[in-house]
Amino acid sequence: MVTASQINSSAAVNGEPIPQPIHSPEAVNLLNYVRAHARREFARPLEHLDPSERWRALALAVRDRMMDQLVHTGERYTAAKGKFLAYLSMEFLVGRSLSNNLRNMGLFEAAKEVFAGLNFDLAESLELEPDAALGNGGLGRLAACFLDSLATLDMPGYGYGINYEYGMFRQEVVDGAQREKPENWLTFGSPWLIQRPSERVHVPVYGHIEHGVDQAGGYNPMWLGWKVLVGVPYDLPIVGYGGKSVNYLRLYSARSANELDMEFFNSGDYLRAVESEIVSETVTKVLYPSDAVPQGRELRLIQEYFLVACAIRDIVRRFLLHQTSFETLPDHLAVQLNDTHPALAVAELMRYLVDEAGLVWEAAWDVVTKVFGYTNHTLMPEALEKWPVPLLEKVLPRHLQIIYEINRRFLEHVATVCPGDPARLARMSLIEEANPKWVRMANLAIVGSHSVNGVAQLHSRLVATQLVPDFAQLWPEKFNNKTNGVTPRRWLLDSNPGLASLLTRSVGPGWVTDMGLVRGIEPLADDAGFREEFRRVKRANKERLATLIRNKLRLTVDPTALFDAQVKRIHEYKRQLLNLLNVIHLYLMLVEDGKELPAPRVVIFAGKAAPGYWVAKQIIRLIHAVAREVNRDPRTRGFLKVVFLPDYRVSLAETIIPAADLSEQISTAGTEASGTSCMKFAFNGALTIGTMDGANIEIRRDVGDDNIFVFGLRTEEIEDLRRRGAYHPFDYYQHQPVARRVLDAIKNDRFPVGQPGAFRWVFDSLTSEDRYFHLADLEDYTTTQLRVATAYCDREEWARKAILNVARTSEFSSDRTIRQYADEIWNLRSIPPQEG
Amino acid sequence: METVGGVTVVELLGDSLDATNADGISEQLTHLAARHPKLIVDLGRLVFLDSSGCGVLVTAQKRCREAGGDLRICQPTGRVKTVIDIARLGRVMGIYPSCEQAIASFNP
Repeated sequence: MVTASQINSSAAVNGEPIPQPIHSPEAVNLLNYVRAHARREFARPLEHLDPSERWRALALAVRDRMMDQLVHTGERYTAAKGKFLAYLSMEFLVGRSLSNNLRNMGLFEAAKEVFAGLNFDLAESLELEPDAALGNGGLGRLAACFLDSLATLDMPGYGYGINYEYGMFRQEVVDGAQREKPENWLTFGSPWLIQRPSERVHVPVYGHIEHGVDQAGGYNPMWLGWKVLVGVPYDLPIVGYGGKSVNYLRLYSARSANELDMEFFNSGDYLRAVESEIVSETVTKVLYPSDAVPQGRELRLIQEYFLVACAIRDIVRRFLLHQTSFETLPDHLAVQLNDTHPALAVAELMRYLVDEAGLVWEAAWDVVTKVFGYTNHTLMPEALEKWPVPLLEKVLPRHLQIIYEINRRFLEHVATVCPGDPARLARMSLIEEANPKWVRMANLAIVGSHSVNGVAQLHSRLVATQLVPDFAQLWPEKFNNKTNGVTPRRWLLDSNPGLASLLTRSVGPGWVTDMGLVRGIEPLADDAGFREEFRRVKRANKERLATLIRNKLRLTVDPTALFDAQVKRIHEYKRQLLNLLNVIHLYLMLVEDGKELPAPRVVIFAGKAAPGYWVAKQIIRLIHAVAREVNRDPRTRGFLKVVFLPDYRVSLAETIIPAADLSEQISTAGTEASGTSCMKFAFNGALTIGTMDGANIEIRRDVGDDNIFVFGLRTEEIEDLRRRGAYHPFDYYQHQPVARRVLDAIKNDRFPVGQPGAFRWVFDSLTSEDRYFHLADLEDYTTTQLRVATAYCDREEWARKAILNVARTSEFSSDRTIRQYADEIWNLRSIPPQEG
Repeated sequence: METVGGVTVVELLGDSLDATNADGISEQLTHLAARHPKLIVDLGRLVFLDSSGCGVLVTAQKRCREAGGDLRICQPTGRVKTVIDIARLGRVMGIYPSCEQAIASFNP
């Protein structure tokens, strides 16, 4: 490696001088790479690039360094002959990569030095990278955290996904209403994606089955008449912390098999000639912006099959590089299905093994069931994916045949184990007998997998006891729990450098890959000096967020106020409405009762509503209506501000979460499988106010009752009320003053939007069905919020609790989660580089 | 096209057998099958085969069998072999790595 003294002594490199403030060898080396890319990519000296070009030049320089490691990592894994993991997900919410890659490669300080030496603003350039938003929310972000942990743990794990041209839509808010704008993250290309055209795969779709007879006289179905999609892979390198292992996320783009239909083109019908090209490329054009995709959407089905077919074809290709016998596939490969979206992989691998590799059915099924694991992410039966049989017959006729055969054999087995129970057979069948019939993808995933896990202890218990109890009774050994986790690299080190630095000074740098070391700050919670530093860090983060709010919304907020954040997808079960009811309650206390609040509060909302989800969009509208009244009413005397930050995405979360004092995790008990924002907030020293739902239960277990604010009905209580039909929300409206006052305010257009009765639906909905028990929890919630505000008045004690939250939530690192998956499901081991 | 020992070998000259030329080739093969029911189709030059092309081969085989013969294929390469596997064509017709082996299969 070139040393600074060598370079400086020459006074110039390639004719360009080294600015004097750049002196460390690492920075000088990085500068050379960046300068080279400035010339090659933009044909200009680095000093003449604009900020958006600078980040690209820097990104390409970092990528250069990653490429060597990518190759070495692959060679190391191959030489070790270990198992590899294919993680299949329709969503990977990666976010921005440059800052994260700089830190993981140990180049962040060098980049700072380079930019400072050139009088460039590194932060400004980092802000210009578009988010790779190939996902909707928690499920996609979990997948991205998992890839980071796999690489950091030196485990051969690869993501397989779709290279959506248009990821999650950009949210604009006009007059309080959400507007969806297309977000093409690839408009200017991505410096990270490595195209692999030689490893493209061909994916057949549509067609029909010709029923024939094979040479031995047996039934031979021939799948003919299909169209071909071409899947072109693009690899996004995933660098583990320390830069030693670089895995990748393989994203497939769909292309037409024939670039141009030559006959049509020659005949002069150009539009028709490119028609097939347009249709093919539609497959990977758009991410469905909802995790509740309307059943029966053909394009979505094709997207799911496209992912699965590309992944299986690629996995088989890798396997055949070094192995020949498919019976040994489970020794070399584990495949994890992230939710049911890639569940067709079960049928696709069967199809491949039986139709192309020539295995007999039983041998193929033995392989398949040893390869797959399935992760469930929901407790709502209506959210379990299913596809109409006629649609599957149209798009994937051979797979439908295979699914029928899987089902036939499966039900035969169930009938043997549980004879005389046709209702059980009907419940467990992969085919729902209705008009039309449906294929139940969760059942397919469970039947085809050796492991079925939920994502938090309560969730996993409920999956086995309530969601699919028949399967859990049949195969108890399959069912297990793997509580979710988040990567401390992105969600602490990168997004909260102030706190990261404090932790490093306190317990050493090892915590970044061993979060358990953070427990070492627990005694420091009683140290006034440490608390002071901790509060200083939090204050700086809050000022940063306040600046963002001022710039985005032209609203001034007090950084000493309680920053109360609920940032997640907008959904009724997450109960942004409940939060808003409390806001209205506080507002009315201030302006009608003349009371003061114990502490000033800034209530921060952010999140997107699925475009077709009317109620969610109305909630956004109501938030804005309430915010407008609250923020301009001088009678609030600065005690209350309401903020809705538009276009919630990973990069925005990285600014909001480190600044939060209070984390709202207030879903109706029994609805949130896990939640992961709760973990991110806890890592960053926010206290949780939450129901006993999802991962909140485990957070409470770890941080202690004194350091979390729990409220609300428990899952069993909710179930009991539902079962007995004993929930009458109108009674709460009638007998609880808070509920009455708040709902009347909404009903009576206290928050007008120029349309009388615009929010009448809130009153009607919450006093009639109130499916998510808002009114049942409202009194407890408002009382608990009062406790929160009172607690916040004692800033020292609040800081102590916040420190304990950081110290005691190390279990929620995705490194722990991945180790558990690796040990208990995948049989995957770390393959670190040799020392020396 | 050449005939060896009562077996006719037809080499597809183009590099693709797909929806754009399936009809034309099908007509030719069907016509040939009637007069030369022991037929081998040499796929050695084929780079692209789609399911329409598979259908052509299946139809031609039916005609050969109706005429008391059979259709076999030889020398499928790379991607063409994959397509044949997807369509399970290999279960219904003999596939041979070389023309000589395909010819020999008619005269065991």
